[in-house]
Amino acid sequence: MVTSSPMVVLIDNDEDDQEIFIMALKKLNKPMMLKSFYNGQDALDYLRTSETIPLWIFVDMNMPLMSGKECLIEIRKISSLAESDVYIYSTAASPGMPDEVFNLGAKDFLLKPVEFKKLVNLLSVIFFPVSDP
Amino acid sequence: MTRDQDLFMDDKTQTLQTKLRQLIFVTSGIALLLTSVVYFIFEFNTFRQTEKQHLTTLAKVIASNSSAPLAFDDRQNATEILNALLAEGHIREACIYDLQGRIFAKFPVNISDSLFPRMFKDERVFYSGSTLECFEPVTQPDGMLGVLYLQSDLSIIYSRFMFFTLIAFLVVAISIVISIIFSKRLQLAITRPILQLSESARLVSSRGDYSVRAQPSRIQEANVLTGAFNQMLDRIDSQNQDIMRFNQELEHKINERTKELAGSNLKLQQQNELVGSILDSSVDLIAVVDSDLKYVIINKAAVKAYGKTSEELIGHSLTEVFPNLESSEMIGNLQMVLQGRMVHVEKYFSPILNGYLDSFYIPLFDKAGEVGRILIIAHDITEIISSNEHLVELNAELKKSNEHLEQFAYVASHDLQEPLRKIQTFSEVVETEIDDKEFVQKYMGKIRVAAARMSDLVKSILHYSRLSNSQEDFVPIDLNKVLETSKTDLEILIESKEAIFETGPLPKINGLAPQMSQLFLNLLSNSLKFCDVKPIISVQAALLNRDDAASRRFNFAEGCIKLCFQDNGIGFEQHYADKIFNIFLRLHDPKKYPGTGIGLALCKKIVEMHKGFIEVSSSPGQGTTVFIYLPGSLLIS
Repeated sequence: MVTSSPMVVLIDNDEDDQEIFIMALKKLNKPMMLKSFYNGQDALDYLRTSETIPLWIFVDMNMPLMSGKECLIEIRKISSLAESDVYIYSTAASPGMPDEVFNLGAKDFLLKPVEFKKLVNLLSVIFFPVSDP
Repeated sequence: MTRDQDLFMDDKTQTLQTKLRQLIFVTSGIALLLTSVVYFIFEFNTFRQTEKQHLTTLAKVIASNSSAPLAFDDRQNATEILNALLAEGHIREACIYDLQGRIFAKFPVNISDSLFPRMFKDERVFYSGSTLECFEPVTQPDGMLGVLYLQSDLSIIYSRFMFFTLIAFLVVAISIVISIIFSKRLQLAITRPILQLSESARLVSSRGDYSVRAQPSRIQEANVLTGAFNQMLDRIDSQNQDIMRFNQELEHKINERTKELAGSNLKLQQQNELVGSILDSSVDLIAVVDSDLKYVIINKAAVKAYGKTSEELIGHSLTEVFPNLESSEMIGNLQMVLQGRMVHVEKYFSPILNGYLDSFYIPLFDKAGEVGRILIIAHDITEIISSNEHLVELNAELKKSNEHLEQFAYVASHDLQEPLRKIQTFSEVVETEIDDKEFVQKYMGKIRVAAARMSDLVKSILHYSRLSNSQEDFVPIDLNKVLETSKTDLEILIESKEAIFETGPLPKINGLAPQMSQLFLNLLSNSLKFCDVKPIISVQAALLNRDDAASRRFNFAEGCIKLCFQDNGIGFEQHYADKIFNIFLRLHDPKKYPGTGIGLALCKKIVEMHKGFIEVSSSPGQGTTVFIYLPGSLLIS
């Protein structure tokens, strides 16, 4: 299935956070396609076989079973996703964590914004960096 | 008797007077004797000569008178002529031979003819024994008629000579006596000055008094001797005084010098004592060794550290006293110092002290610029090293604890921020859709859930931190009672899940009571929570001795207490076994299995507070077993 809308993949075990992310995406009012997963294993299973290449992949850092970091390592092993930007997406950061994930191939380390508006702005900047200066 | 007196009064020596007396006696005796002998010999010869003459004359007279009787053969007349010899008392025998040698007449007439010697025709006079004999031919102008023989006896004359000799000896003896008497008086004049000199010498010698002087005398030679003696005494006396003065000066000088020396000696001693006390009061080990590495100086600290006496060290070489220093690093360093280099070893392990030293080996140069001695200064840094090591350990612990704290801070902030963020976001969203009642209700519900979770988290964190900082003492705990209490606390959950318990007897231990209850509660509640079927929970205990594999693995010297909490819950992949004790870590969907993620972290903490270890064994769908190993020393039998 080929679609013209750019695809976003969200991997987050927190249901509420997924809901918040969807709400923010809707606020952008742009044609986007979102695929969300509650754990890394399910997401990897999908990504390894998917024909659609996501432009952006958001991975929650703190997840049971497979952590965000482990998930990032696995994603970077998938050659078809070489062009995809992987963002590590976390509530809090420990010292050294951003550098660690850069080295593992992440595009950026993002803190989940406390304010909803800021999340909308953050996503807008990521998805449409030129059109919305 | 002193040796001085000996010198003058030897047994073999004689006094001068005796010697002189002997001399006079012998001299005068020999003179008199020689005179007497010469006189005697002269007298004797003269007498013999005279006697010979006299007899010859007598024989000529008688021969002349006898020629007629012989010519006429008148024996009677001849005998009468011969008898006239009676007047010559010394003629003992006489006879007249005829030409044929026959006795013509004889005197005295009564003696035998055979007593007369054989006739000699020629004239002769000779001595025979004590007699003088004479043959005189009786002649006539026309020829010889016969021979006259006379024998004179000399014994009377000889006895007169003997008498003369006696008289001569008497005269000699008397002369000697007289000469001795004279000489005695004369010799006094000679010997007196010599005796005086000798007495003076004796006094000088025996008293050591050189002021004594010999008296001059009338004899020139004695005077020369006395003068020389006195001069010698004068010189000795003046020399003596010089020597005495010199001695006094010398003594004075010696006294002064001795005083000076004593003064400087005292200073030197004080200096030495000061240096010694400085060395001895040093806390550092100080020693000086010579080029043969023999101890020259060693201070108290070093003597004490070596556990030897200074006598055992001074004068002995390092390797002699401490054989284990042979081929040690220190000897190598000292050899380098002997080349003139100072060596500093910041951390030297001394096999003698069994400790660490900060050592300086400093060359001490002699006047020739050679390294004569080595100064060793060593500071005992064993305590610093050990405290450093302790510090390193503490640092490692601190680092670990910091890491834990960092992790805790991160995880705490993460887990606390999550509900907070949700509350903020949802309330913001609600504001925009305030008129949509259903929307508002939905998100207000979510806000409440987040707030409740927040509350739980804050309580748990408080609990965890309180537990960590607890300073309570160990008390006896009956684990059977702890189990029962926990079951009572979880009664509602146990009943709702219809859980079955299989518990064995549990030991009594020394421990922290509230923490132990928390441990049991957490483990049991996990077993109940993570279970989709009717829970079957087993709690068992075993005592393992020190040789057991587990005891050895965890280094329990006194064995250990093993507790097993087994369930038939959902389990997890074994490779998560290490992670599940990390704080805030949740393996399962929090919606289905709610929790703070602190429970097992707390369990680990409690076990560690009891110096024990916690392990978990699990596989998905097969249940989980938690093993707790506590030190055997905690067991109350």
